[in-house]
Amino acid sequence: MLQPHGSCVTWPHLQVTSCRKPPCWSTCHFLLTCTFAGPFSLPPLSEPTGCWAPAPSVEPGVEEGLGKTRGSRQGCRKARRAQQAGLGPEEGGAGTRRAPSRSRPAWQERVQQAAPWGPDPLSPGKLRPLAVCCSELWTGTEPGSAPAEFSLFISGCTRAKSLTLAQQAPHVPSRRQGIASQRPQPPGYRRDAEAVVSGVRPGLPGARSRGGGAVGAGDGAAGVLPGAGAGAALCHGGQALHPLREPEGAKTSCWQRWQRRRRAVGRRLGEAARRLAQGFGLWEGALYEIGGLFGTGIQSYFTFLRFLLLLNLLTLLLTASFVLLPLVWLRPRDPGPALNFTLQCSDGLQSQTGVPRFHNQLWNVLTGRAFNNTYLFYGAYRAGPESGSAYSIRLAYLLSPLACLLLCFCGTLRRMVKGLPQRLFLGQDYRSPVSIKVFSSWDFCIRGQEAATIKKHEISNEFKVELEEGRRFLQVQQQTRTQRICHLLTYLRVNVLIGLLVVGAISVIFWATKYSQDNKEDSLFVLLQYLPPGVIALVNFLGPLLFVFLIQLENYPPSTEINLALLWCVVLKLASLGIFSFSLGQTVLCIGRNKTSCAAYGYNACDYECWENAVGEELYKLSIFNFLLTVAFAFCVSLPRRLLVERFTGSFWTWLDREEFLVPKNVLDIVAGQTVTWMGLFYCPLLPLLNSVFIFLTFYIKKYTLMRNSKASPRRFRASSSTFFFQLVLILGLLLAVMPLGYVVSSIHSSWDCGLFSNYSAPWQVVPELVALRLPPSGQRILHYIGSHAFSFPLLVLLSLVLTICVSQSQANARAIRGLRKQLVWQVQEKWHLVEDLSRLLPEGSGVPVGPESPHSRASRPRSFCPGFPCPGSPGPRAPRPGPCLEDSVSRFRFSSGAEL
Amino acid sequence: MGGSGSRLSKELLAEYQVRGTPVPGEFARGPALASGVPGRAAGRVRPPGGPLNPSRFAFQELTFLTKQEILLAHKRFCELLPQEHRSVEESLQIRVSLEQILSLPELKANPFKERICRVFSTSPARDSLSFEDFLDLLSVFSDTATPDIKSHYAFRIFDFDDDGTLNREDLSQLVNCLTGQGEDTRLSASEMKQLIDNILEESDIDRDGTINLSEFQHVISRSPDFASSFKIVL
Repeated sequence: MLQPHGSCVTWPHLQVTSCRKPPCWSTCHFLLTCTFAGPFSLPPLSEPTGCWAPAPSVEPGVEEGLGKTRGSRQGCRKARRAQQAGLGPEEGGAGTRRAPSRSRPAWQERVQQAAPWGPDPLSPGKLRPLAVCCSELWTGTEPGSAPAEFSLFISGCTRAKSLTLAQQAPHVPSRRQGIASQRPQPPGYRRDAEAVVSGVRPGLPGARSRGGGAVGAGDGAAGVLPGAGAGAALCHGGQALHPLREPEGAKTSCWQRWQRRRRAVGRRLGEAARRLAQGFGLWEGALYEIGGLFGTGIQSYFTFLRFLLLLNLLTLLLTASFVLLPLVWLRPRDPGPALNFTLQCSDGLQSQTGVPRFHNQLWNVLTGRAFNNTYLFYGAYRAGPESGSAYSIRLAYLLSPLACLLLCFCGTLRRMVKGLPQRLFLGQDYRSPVSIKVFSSWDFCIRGQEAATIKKHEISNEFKVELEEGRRFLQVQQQTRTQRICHLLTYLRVNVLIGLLVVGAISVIFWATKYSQDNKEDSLFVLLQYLPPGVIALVNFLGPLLFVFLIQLENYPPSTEINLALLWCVVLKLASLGIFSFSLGQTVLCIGRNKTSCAAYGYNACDYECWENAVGEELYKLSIFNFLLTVAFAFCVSLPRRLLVERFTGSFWTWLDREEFLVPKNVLDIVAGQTVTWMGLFYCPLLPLLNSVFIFLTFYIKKYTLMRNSKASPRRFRASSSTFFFQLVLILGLLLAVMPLGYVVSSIHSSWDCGLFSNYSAPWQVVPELVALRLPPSGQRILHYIGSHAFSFPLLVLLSLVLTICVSQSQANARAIRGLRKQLVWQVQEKWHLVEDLSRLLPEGSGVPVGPESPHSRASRPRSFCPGFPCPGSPGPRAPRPGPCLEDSVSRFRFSSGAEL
Repeated sequence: MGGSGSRLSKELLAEYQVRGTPVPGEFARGPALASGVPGRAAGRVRPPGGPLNPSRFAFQELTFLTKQEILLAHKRFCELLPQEHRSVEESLQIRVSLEQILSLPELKANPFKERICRVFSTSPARDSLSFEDFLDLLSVFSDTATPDIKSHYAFRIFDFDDDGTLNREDLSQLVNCLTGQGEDTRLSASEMKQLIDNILEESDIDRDGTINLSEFQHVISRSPDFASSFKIVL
């Protein structure tokens, strides 16, 4: 006998109160009692077969509100009466009542009639009445029949549901029945992601897709059960109508609802954070356009620009809120008279004033002299003695650049880790897989035909390069020792040559800086002011060209060639900046020099009244110069070149062609600019503002250059590798900027005459002083302890412990990955073993080809025996295992895999 | 199965396979490849009442797209239709032929454009797209679609003969699509063989000579570029 079962599901419009077996239906043993809340109505139940055909449309609003389908029950009673009259009572029938065979075709017909959706649900003004169709999938009451899936579809409502009913053969004394209620299926997997995690039985897709509503024949009952417990609200069937929800079910539902809400909120917060990280959608359109036309490689350069802009704005925000605003607000009553301080220099400062200069305003702006007494430079920040006010401007001024650098470091590091190539973790034998290139190299964003052609070229190049490298690798393995040594020597030759060039370039920069500093007051040569930046720019312009040329002379593998050129470019760029700062230090701070004034004041006090300002000016000039160069290059080189190439025809012009947009070169430029900004954070706190403006303009200039004047380079960067590389270069720049800053802050005497730290031996002295002044003794002791060796030792131990854990974790992961890979292979082997056993057991000559374990013989096997066909990890139903030999083989495989893991 | 022959249930169930929630590891979206049911539906469920009214916009729940994107998609879709069929009701039901879809600038340069349209088409001949199909396409290629869904559809797009696995012919067609048919870009026969050997050696974990969906997704999961490049924006 069949037990009635029901399930309740919550819908916006419909609640299925219970689903029970009415005695009125002969085959379809379910009665749906539904409560509707909403603009739908259920036509009275007229068909005992369970299909409510849609009635003619109902005007909206007529049935609004809560309508209980009393009609259905009445209908059912009527139907029951009819049934009793016709077929005899069904209740109490202990045995199976065979379904009248006529009912099924009729049923199907009805469903099909009902299925065409009638009036368009989309048509406005006409509300489609609810049609409930119960399709009876369970075919009858034969003993041992398959579990039934009882589907209920409500059209006109955006949801539908199906009730799955598992049923065992009626002759089994204690029946085990389960009802899985699938939740109202989430029409958008995004929205209700969690719903189906609980509601849908695993392994369903195959079964379900076999044709609407098909029930997996073999594993249906088992598969349904897990879902039963996890449905939204589950009513165990009884003869009587059940309350809407069982308390337990309601609880789960509440919990789920709460979780869903929590997740939604979390998602929204996450989205907001992401938007913030992406600069509130700044340049999104432009980025899409670039990505679409030129692929993600070039797009990553522009994304990088945006990232830098955000970093700079953040820095500016910090500086403004912690230094500038308080300074303006708490304007010290008495800015503190300049120290009664006279320099005792041999030749005196008087010469400065007497020399005629260019008093051109533009020059003053470009060299930064015009802003000497503004908040742009260090010297203009003044404050009274420390004890005067509650807020220490000095501390803020000192700590805000450090905090900014730390923030930038964290942000950059995070981006870098995100772009880290995965194979670093997976060992050396994990060489860059060509299959990834094949499967994910096409950039679906590409729209332009031209860009598509370029991309095809690029992919083709990449494949060819990859294959060539493979061949090379084989060749290298076959080489003799002497051949290898010869190769090594040639490589060495080129690299030494380039190294010498780098050293030469660095020394040129060094001399230029020194010369310009030494002849600072040479009145006729204001251009001399721009000598160091000019030389740096020249070197950085010529260097890469020369390097690429030299490296191409040798027979390097293509990827090595590019990487090598890039590496040298980075070295040159950062080294030139480094040497620039060093030579500045030498002239200003007398590093490695002997000068009387240096000995007396801690810096070259005779030549530099306020040396921080001088350094700031240099960096300011460098920054401006970088930008001017970008502008000049875009409008004085790229643009004319494009115009000329378009105008003239001829072999030379064809050869010249448009400029290539070289992402690495551009990135290096922008990184250099950023490094200068970081270097100058202490000397000109508002340099980030300047740099933000420059980056903002650079974006548009570069975009213009890219769109109009250049062609995409045929050899392009992939987004991931380039992102990683950009961040790496940026971090190198950051470290380069931090080193001199740290040195200056900790151990160089600040100017006697200007700035916030005029009476401190070094800016860092503010911190101990404030600690002594403001902190209570216990706090002092804590800080003291943190700064001491006694603290550093446990910290070191702790850090190394954490590191050890991380390393061992990643090693364990790698081991697990290897083990899983092996397990996949073993699984396949096991399947093959089973197939072999099976074929051995089958009568001879059954036609199943059984061969040795060679891949070829496998490939030739029929599909049904192909072990790769089912997804690995989800082994299909196993064949019965006769005999101990199989047991043995299985245990062998299992054992080894278990041991490996 | 029993009385399951109703078209209605087929459609709805097919829809739920597509619209099923993304359970990691369960390849629940789209019809399972093995079953080859053509009727995987897009936003087959229609908005409850009313035309493209943003306030009750069910498509938004059904796809990964935002309201604006859906409205834009509808606009673009309507532009493909003849003038007289541009009303909202008609545009939701009419199908657009493959050629018209392929003329979209977003797809024009794509070497896989025919495959994309075939995979997303629900018509029996696989040669036309309804608005729901179109929306489904955009949803899969949108920014917010999960990597699982993206890789699933990538697999179907690359499976040129629709047999559920990538075999050597599929791979060589795929590589030819990527490199184009030009003399200078096409790989030679030996190169092609070497490349496919390499691919199979790397990704064919179970050594059956073809790449199945899970092997494919395994490969894709290691590619950081995939999610960013597998997208089409109107």
